[in-house]
Amino acid sequence: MALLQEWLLALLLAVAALPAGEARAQPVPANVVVAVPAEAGSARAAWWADHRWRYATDQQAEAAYQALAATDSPSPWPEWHESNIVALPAGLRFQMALAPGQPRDRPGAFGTFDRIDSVEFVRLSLAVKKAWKPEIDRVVTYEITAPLLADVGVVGPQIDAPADRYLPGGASQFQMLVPAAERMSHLRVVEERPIR
Amino acid sequence: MSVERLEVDHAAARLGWRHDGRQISLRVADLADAAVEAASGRIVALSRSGAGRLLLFDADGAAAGSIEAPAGYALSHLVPGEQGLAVVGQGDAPHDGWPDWHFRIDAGAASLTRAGPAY
Repeated sequence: MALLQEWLLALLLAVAALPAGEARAQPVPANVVVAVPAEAGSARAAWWADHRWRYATDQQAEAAYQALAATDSPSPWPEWHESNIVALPAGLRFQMALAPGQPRDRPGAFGTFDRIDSVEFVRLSLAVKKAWKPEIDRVVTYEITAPLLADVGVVGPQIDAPADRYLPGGASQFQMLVPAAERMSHLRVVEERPIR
Repeated sequence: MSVERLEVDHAAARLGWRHDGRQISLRVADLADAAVEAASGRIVALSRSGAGRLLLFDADGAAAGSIEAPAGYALSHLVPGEQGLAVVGQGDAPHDGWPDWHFRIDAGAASLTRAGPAY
């Protein structure tokens, strides 16, 4: 422990002793993660902090960011997602956020096995852009009553460009792979509650 | 000449509003939702008969046409938004990776335009 403290102290002193200009003058190898200036936008900076490491160069990372931010219909999955199609069994419960006016017998195509406790959870952990669901007022817990074909994985990150907001995702997610009209024939409503 | 106090009575399948000092009341089968489309001033009523249909009314209550659900979609609910009134269509199959989409409503032209994914 004492050795670690000494090492950290030495590191801090070494960094503090560096002239600012000298530190900036060092060339940055292509495979080193670099900080993005704050003026680049908070969504971009936050995405960069989480995902720059996935790419070999800044250029590749920038291309991935632009691919995500510049389209209205980016993939709901992470870039690395590979389809994992399973029949979700009867008895399994999941949650879904609903919009005002959306009947609970008209569920959307995506559910989560995590507990939805707030609208902010929907925006950040389920990465639901405002444009995709402008208002959210309820959570419904559904139970699967007949095997339901679905692609299962985790929520991919999104960029809500109009809000300049990075939505990290990361919660569990599945996408129903049955026609919309058949969704409720696989489900029953267990509970409905308001969220804010 | 505006529409005031638009009310939806699901149980009675009735749609009502005040216009020009008059109370207007209409019966709409399988009425799910209704809203005023700002650009045209028309009332858009969502009927969930079959795959769903949008019924259009002028402010004075006159029928002004209807819009069928796009092929392969069932209409779910209306969504007011910054870009105008939209309806969510839930799809039989994904389009561009997304099963459900917003369709922007042009009540003046009685048409729908695909706008963006719906979650």
